[in-house]
Amino acid sequence: MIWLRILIELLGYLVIIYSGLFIVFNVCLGVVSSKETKYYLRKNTKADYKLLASSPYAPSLSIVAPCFNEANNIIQSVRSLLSIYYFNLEIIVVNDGSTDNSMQLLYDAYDLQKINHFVQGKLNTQSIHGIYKSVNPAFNKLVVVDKANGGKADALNAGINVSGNQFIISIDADCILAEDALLKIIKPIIDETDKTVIASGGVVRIANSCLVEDGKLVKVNLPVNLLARIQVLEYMRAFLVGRMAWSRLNGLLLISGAFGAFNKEILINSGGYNSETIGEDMELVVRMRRYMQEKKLPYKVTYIPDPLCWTEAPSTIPVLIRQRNRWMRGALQTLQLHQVLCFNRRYGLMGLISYPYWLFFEVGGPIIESAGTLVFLLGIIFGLIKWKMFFAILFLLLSVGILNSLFGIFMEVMSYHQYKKPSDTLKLVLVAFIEPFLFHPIIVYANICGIIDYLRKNNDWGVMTRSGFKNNISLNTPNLLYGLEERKQ
Amino acid sequence: MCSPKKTIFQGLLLLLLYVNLANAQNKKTGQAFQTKSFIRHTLTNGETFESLGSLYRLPPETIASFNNIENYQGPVLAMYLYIPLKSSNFLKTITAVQVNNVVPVYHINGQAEHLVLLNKSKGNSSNEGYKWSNAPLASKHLKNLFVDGYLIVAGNAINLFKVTRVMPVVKTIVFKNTIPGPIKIQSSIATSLPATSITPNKNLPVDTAQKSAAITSLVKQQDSSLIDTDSGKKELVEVKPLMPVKSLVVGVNKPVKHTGAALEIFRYITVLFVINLLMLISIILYLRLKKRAVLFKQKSGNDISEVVISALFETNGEEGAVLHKKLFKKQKLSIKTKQLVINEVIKAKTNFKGTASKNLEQLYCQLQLNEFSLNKLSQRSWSTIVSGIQELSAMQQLDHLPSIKKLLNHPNEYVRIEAQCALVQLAGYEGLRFLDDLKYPLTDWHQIKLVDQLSKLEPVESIGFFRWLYSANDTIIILLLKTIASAKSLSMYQWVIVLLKHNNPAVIIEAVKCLKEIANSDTPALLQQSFAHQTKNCQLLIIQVLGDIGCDDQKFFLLHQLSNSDDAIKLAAANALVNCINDGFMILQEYCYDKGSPYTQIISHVKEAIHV
Repeated sequence: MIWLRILIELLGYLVIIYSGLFIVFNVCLGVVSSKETKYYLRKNTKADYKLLASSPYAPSLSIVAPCFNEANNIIQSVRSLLSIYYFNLEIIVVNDGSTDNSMQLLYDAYDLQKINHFVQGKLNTQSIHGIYKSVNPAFNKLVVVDKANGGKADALNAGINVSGNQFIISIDADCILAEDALLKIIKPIIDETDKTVIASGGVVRIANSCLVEDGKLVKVNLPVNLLARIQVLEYMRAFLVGRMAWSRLNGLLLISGAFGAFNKEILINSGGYNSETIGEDMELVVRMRRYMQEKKLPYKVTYIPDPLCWTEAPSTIPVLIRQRNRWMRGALQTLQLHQVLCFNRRYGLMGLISYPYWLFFEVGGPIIESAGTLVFLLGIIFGLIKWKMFFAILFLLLSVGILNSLFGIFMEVMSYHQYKKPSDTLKLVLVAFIEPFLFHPIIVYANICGIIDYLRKNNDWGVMTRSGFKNNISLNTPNLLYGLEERKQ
Repeated sequence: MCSPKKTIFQGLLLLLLYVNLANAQNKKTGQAFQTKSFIRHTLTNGETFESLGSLYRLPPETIASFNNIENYQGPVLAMYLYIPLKSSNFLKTITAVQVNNVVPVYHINGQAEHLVLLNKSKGNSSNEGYKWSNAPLASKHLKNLFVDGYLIVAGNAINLFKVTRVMPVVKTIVFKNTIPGPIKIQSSIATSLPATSITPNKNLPVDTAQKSAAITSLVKQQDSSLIDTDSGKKELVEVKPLMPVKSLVVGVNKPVKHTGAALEIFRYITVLFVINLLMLISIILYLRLKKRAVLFKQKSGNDISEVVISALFETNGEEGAVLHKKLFKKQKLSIKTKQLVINEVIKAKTNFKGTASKNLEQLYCQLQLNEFSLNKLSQRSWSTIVSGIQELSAMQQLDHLPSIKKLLNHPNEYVRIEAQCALVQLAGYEGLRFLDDLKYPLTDWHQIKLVDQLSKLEPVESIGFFRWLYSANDTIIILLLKTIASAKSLSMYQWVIVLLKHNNPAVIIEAVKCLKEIANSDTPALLQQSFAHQTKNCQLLIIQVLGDIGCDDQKFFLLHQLSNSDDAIKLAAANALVNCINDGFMILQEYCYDKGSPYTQIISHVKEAIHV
């Protein structure tokens, strides 16, 4: 049995080294993100965003919202988009061959009329059945593209082909945007002189249990559903701690598909969204970055801590597992497609730190954790566990995890403090303590399933179920959903 | 009938159960390791369990099972074996008769890290054997050497002495028997042992990483080492890890150092726990502070609002002064209150103009808030300085313009930007003179702010815009072009057209946009002439602008562009043709007739646009 003992011992060291590195990374990210958030808040607290909304010199924007079977929310979501005030804006809703009555609902609600529009874009997409505009002048910014089903990336590409403005804002049709979301996401782009900002993103928040009226978020509530509540904490950690730090380091590889701004010219030059991937948001950012690196052009991917977009999180375990499974497959696809980046000095920080971080911690994390669990079980069976050491390391890792969560809560309280009730904050603190036991194993399981599915070349999006925002009544309509899921880092 | 999956599963379970039971059995055997000492015997050619058994006065199967070896017959395939110390071969005390047939085993009390080889000293044959020590082998430590017991050997005790190693398993062995007097180390006997290293290994495995190293290097471990003694002579010292290999790998016989590592981790956990606790306290404290701030704001808010509203509509300065005293009646304004008042006043001022606005400025000065804001300019924090500048400029504090000017070249970018914006807000077009000394590019955001401020003022061209139109800083040129376009300064036309030959495409694009606003009858022809030298984006813009300001003279140019290879330019030319040429649509239809795609789609698109 000596080989088994040596194997277990070596795996033990591997886990310890891995955990150590992970802790060091997280501490560094925490320090950097807190500095960046503080700097951002000080810089922009008194910024007059209204000036940007009305200025003819502000960049022109095209919002592209793909939808597939979004009949539950589509009218509210489009109304929410139309309520955004921005001087030079067009709103392109792409119906990606919905099989429900989404298109008819849009047609009726916004007095649509088919127009002859010459699509100049060069990105390949499925055939466009028709382009519609409203005869009502109140909705003159709205363009609806009806096309054959081709997936989210394909729908986004179709929207980009139709768009005529400088920047593309991609959003999920079921998301609720903050009123000043566009102004805030565009400001970092026009605040830069030395580098071209190729993409900009903002914090995505969870809208479960929040009060939504006429497509607008009226009141922010902490989700009643425990699973959704835990995800609130998870998003806080991921967005307020992780992405802010990566943004500061200019090493961000992912702008959420739920809400992100992209430089159209560079997006098209990079080849647009890849319809073959299921993690099209990450893949696009990586490809755009690669394009800029290869052309040796100075660039930046920015990220802001403002809560700009609210989306519904999965509230049941099967839906959550399917969502995380898809994220994992998406990440693996992107990493495989761009494997040339790995430890490649030519790609600077992206090649030397960002890519390996994703590979070892985002993808490798679940593998290491699962291997650790397996070894632990074997250790129990063979009586090889050093219990004192085991509990010491377990508590150490749990403490670090809880610290990370508490830091996320602290950042939230210090910055935007969306959950005003003190009891909500205390509930989040409680969640920080139970999350490692209740939620984390599910995520690891889902990620492992994702890895296995990826190896089996299963590229389905998966059927999702969601309730919709309407009065928070669960409608339980099964649909292939683009919007429900928000990727985290 | 069980399904195959179920059978496999049950089989696996049974297997695991068996392995577990077997392991439990092993653990029982392993217990001997934990409670008893042993020696290590390095095998020589021809040795068998039989010969070893007779040498160490033990049954061969006992030695074999102690080493987890089933077959004890025939040759031994190993480099060394562990020999258990049992009552048959190990004595705690000896009689004078037994002296010649035993090898003493030594131990230094409380220090059990090194295995030290000791040699015979004159007149005291009992002072020879091996013992453990963790200390540098200075003579003062050797004074504390004690005999643990005596190994009974059969026959050639000296030979045995050369090949055995004592491996105490548990550190806390209590040694009762002592041999008084210092121990002398004789190099003559010591050198008879193979010496392969001259560096004593004092750093035994203390943590898991070192453990790993110990495992991998164990095979290569040196048998002995040389160290310096007090007398300056080289002596041989055995250096071995505390535990046998088996315990190092699996940790069954947990060494003392392992417990130390766990304790070390628990120390980290304690630190993390404290940090977690501090984080929690910080969250709670911050929430309380925030709540207090909100309560304070609510409490003071009514008074402040009352004063601000009264200031808005007052016509008599004295009346206002009386009202303002209400704010002072309880106590002097605190910093927090001052900031609240400033925020309220600025908020109100953005919504009012004329007398009301002047009244607010007066209130700001009467409450000496201007001094408060001015004081911020000398602070270290850049955000405080920015806040001070914003307050002074919002309240039109022209008196403090010199203080703001000093910050125009502040090292912090945001302080510079705010100072520049404040200068323009307070001094109007004259404030643009900061452009003379500007060393940094202006961001788009900064430009939007400046253009917005300037758009509210009457242009003062005497300051000489044109000199900035030839600045080496392209962002200054772009700002000026935006300002000229916004103010529609026709007199700048001649300076702007020169910029169509600028080497920066961004400047040319802005110049074309500007020319659209200040165009005259020559502009379309000029744009048409410069078209060929421009980038694609600029060409597209020129065609769009021609659609707005062009005339029939551009007909052939636009028709020519319909054959451009780029679809976007074709579409723009078609749109421009329809917009600026009489019967443009007819001309377009004639041109596109029978040309197929994309012209059919272009005509449909343009027709739709006309219809809309």
